[in-house]
Amino acid sequence: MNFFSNLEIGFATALSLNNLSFCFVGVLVGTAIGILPGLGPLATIAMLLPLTYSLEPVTGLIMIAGIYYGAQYGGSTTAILVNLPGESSSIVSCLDGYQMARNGRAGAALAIAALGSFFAGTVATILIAAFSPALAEVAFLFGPVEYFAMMVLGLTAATLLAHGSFIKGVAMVLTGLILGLVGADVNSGTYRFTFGSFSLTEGIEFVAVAMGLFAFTDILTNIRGDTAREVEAPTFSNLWMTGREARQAAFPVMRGTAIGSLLGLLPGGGAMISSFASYAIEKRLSKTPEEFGHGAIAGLAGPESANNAGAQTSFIPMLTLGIPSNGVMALMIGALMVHNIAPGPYVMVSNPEIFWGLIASMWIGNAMLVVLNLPLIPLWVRLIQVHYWILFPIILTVCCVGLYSISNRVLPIYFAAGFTLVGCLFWRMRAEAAPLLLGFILGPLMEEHFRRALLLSDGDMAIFYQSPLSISMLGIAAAMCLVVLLPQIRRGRSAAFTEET
Amino acid sequence: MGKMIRTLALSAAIAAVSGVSVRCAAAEDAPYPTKPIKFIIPYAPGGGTDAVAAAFSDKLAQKLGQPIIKENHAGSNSVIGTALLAESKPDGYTLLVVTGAIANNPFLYSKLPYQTEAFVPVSILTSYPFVLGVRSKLPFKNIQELIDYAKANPGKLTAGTSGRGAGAQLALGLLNKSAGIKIRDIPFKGAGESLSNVAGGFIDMVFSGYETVRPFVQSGKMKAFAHTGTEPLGREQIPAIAQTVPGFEYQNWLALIAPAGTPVAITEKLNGALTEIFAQQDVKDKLAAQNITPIASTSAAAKDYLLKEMATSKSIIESIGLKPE
Amino acid sequence: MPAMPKRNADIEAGLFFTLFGGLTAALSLQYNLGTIAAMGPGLFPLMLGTLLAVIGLVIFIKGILFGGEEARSLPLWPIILITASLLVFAFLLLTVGLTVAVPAQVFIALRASQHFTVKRAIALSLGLLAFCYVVFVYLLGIPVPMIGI
Repeated sequence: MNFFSNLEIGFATALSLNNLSFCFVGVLVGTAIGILPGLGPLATIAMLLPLTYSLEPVTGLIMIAGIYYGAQYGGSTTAILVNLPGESSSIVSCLDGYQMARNGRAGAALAIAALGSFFAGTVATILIAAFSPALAEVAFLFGPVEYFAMMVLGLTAATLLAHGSFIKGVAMVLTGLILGLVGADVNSGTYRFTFGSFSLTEGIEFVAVAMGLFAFTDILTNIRGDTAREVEAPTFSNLWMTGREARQAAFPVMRGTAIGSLLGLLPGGGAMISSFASYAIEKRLSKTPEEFGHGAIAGLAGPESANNAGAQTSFIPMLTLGIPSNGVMALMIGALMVHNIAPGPYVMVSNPEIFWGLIASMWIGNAMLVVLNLPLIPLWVRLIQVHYWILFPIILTVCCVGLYSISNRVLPIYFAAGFTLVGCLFWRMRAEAAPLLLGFILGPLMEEHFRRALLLSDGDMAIFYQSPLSISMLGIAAAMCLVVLLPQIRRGRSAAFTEET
Repeated sequence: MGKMIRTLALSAAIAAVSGVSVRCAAAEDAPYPTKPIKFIIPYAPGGGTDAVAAAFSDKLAQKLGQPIIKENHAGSNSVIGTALLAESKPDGYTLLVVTGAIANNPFLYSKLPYQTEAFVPVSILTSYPFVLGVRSKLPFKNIQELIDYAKANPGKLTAGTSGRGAGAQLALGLLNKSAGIKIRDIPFKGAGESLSNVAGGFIDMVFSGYETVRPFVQSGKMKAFAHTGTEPLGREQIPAIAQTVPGFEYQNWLALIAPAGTPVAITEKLNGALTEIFAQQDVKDKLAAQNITPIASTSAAAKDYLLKEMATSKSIIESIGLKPE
Repeated sequence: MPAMPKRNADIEAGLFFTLFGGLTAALSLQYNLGTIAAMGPGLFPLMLGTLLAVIGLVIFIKGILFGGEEARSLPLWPIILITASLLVFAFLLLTVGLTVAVPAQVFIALRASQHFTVKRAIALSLGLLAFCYVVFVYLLGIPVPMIGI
């Protein structure tokens, strides 16, 4: 098969007026729901899916895909502007993106996120087009053992995210892992830590935890200092990134793209792990790691590109193998099945216009996102420059309605209130909340793979170091811990009893 | 711009909006249905249940003149979604599309938040066997060879199942029991994950729907040489396990269920519409392509079916030694 | 010996994590533990809880020995008001509807700010109500009860 003739089929399909307009609708709806907290792409797509049944299969898929990456994009905007990770993939964007916004660089942060994502999307699309069939096999290299090792590696990277003390980061990850276990156990169906409440059987709502720990806690700790936010007249320099900022972002974007493209292939959180793997790497490589957590450009550019690249390449296992790497991909498989197209290696041969049309539309959609969003940056920047007393009630109410809309219940609002109090406690104790959130998402997956691995090996722990992939990932994780701990230990020996900060 | 967003989002919210307008127009005593009907799907979106529901829900909506809105409420082997149905008003506007799992759950969960027998089944929709997808590196060519190997090496082979109480787990338990072998059960969160673990060679086999196994067979990652029905299956004429293990049968099924106390007039109306839809050739063809048998039974027959299945499930669950928790 | 901060964040954090870990471990004992080969639902939480309790102790001891960081002081009044505004919103949403829940939330939450005036609260409430209606109810079709009775 010829690469260029394939792309030609793809662009011919994607550039038809009908498909272009549905791509635009998807991207627009996606951006909107990404920006609004609460309603995520999964819920929206599930809601809209029946509407796509009446469309041509390729048109329906193009629209769904547009919603998916549009939402990733919109999610970063909220993360940067109001410190609210609406999607698990934008937790990392909160860390430095929000700090940049607070330093008056919101415009630059948004521009970097937009252009970084576009670059990552472009590269990932080319990768999908060129190497789909070959890359698809990567997913088959990952069994329970390898996944467990990947989660350990991911969580180790997560503790390095915290700019506070390492050991508190570990404690926060563990706390998150525990909270993530609430609900029905996969293997036995036993309800754990639900305290008799049926509403908890599916676990604690992620968005409620994220809002409580991030957005609401942030409001509380900012209210008193709200005179500090002066309304500045937006000038060109604070709307757009400077040449220096662009140069600082360039390499992190490329590295992030590479990491995201690779990890996105893995079902079960690969795309998300890529964003914090990228953060950890950038922090490690940086000459000024102390800037991380205080608005480091690399700390935003890398993860943003990684998560967008990962979101794109997660289409590969879905299209080529029929393996959904996340909920949205499962929905796309559902949409294909409705049209009697079984996802798998044969789609490429039997329905080339679907396969290549979708791929071409992804690039077009990413381009639309940039065109759509760059002009909006001045608007967003002005939005957060309004008085804080106007902004925070808006955040509160919109979040509350968003929480209600998840399942048309008020329970998530009560949970968010509870986690606000917990978040205040963590703020007081100087414990970073991001590692907790990552542990919260990975907790159930990690347990599942751990138990499955031991079930397969009949209780033999050796299984974890027999697989070369697993042992190398665990080795990297151990090395990362050592790199962090050694200087502390050495310092502790030579200059015991000196204040460490 | 603003107007554009509005128009677009409007189209996105068609279902809800049309619901409002219809509610206003409908008179009090107009015949059922006068507002949109909600289908609860107790599984994650995109699964096999969705696909079957999609095959008939659009046509049902046309016949009844009201939109059908699907809501996925996954979890606990369909218990979450079923509990939602139990809380709903028995007015025919909230229905549940559920698999055979509903008949297994009473014997697996000691504290169910509903009474399974009290529901009013509208109709059994479809029934279909599981295909056994086997890792292609294994040397077996038919089920007899697999059973012989498993007999000689108890506990060596592994099978992925989609969680406690799911059909695949019961089918495996039944095979272990009736063939006198021991294939170990490795639980997964859903069929998708267990399929890719077979394809990757981490586990040995999986019981799953024909349509989900087929792509892996085509790409050479799996062999499909047995299924849990009674007759040779599909274009490939996959032999039934019953040919080797007499009496072995496990059929998974889908049913449309209404809350307890739903009036007969409503179930009759739905039932009539479904019978007509399932008699249409294109629906038949669509389901036949997936080797799914459409059933569309009367409400009373569906109730009998449900009770009979519950008895079967009970004996399978007891014989394979699962206890309610 | 460094000067011990008055409110030691490490000691507080250590205590919190130890308690939370210990509680998790204790609660997980009520579930079947199983064996390493066939782990029951209780084993993994037991492991996590125990590990967390140990790490909490390490943080605690570190705090006592090395002083550690100073805890930030919490803004008590805003915490009460904001949390209350969330609870009140949730309660009023289903009992009376959005038309009452939004103003109630805005009034309570805005009290936490020194910029509170009745005029501002009314203006914000009206604006937010309009926004919620247009975006959530009209455009997205989310069944939020405007008037819930």
